[in-house]
Amino acid sequence: MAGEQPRASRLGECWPYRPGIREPYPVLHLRLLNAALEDYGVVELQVDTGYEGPIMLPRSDYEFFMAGELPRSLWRTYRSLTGVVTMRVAHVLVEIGGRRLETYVESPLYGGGKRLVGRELLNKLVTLLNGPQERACILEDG
Amino acid sequence: MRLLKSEAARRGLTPSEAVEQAIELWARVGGELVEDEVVDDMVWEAISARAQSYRGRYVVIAGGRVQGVYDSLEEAAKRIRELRARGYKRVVLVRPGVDDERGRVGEWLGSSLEPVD
Repeated sequence: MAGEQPRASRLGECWPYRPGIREPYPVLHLRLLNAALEDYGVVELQVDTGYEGPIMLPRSDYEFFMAGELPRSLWRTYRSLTGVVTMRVAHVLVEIGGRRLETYVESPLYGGGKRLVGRELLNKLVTLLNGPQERACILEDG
Repeated sequence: MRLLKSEAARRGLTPSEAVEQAIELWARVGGELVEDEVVDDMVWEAISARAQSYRGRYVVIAGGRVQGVYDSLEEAAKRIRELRARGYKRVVLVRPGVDDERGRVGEWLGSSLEPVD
């Protein structure tokens, strides 16, 4: 049969959903290293498919990653429901599910940020959102 | 003034609190860190056209000059650690042909909205 066959996957690490105000939300745990390959530790990030970027952090977390920041002309601007938000951008190395991925962390130039994982990174991972059991899991190549 | 008042109200601030926050941001922009940032960012602007010959490699900029161009993140990281040991908190790192082609505009929809009781 023509076309790429789906690869077998096995369930990797799972994390329980966190309580929201009304509904619990899925999270992933990622180990983050800055461009100096210094370890920031494991960070819990809310899964946010409405965020087109890779990882968003509040400024207090983000400063660690300024060891490898992009120049201002390469920062990204986001359209949000409340207007335009400019994000600082830095290189990051992510460890998850036995893989290492080079991607970016972002943080609002002004105002606070949130700990989010967005589509630019989620689209490189195979994730399972098990709503009834309130668990988010990473699937690894079997 | 009307814009200030409406934006302040939206953020739950009085107009005077909004002005105070604006002044604080303005003062921070005059800080030493931002001056260093501007210099390093200007270095990138000056070399960005030429840097396309370094496509996919890692260009490290700090202290107002290019510190090196490296084939791998591991090599660049070694140089960045040296710079951090010398007190640089911010180092500019660019992969020409990668970082400048990921797009400057994105969307952040209402997915972070939470209900208010």
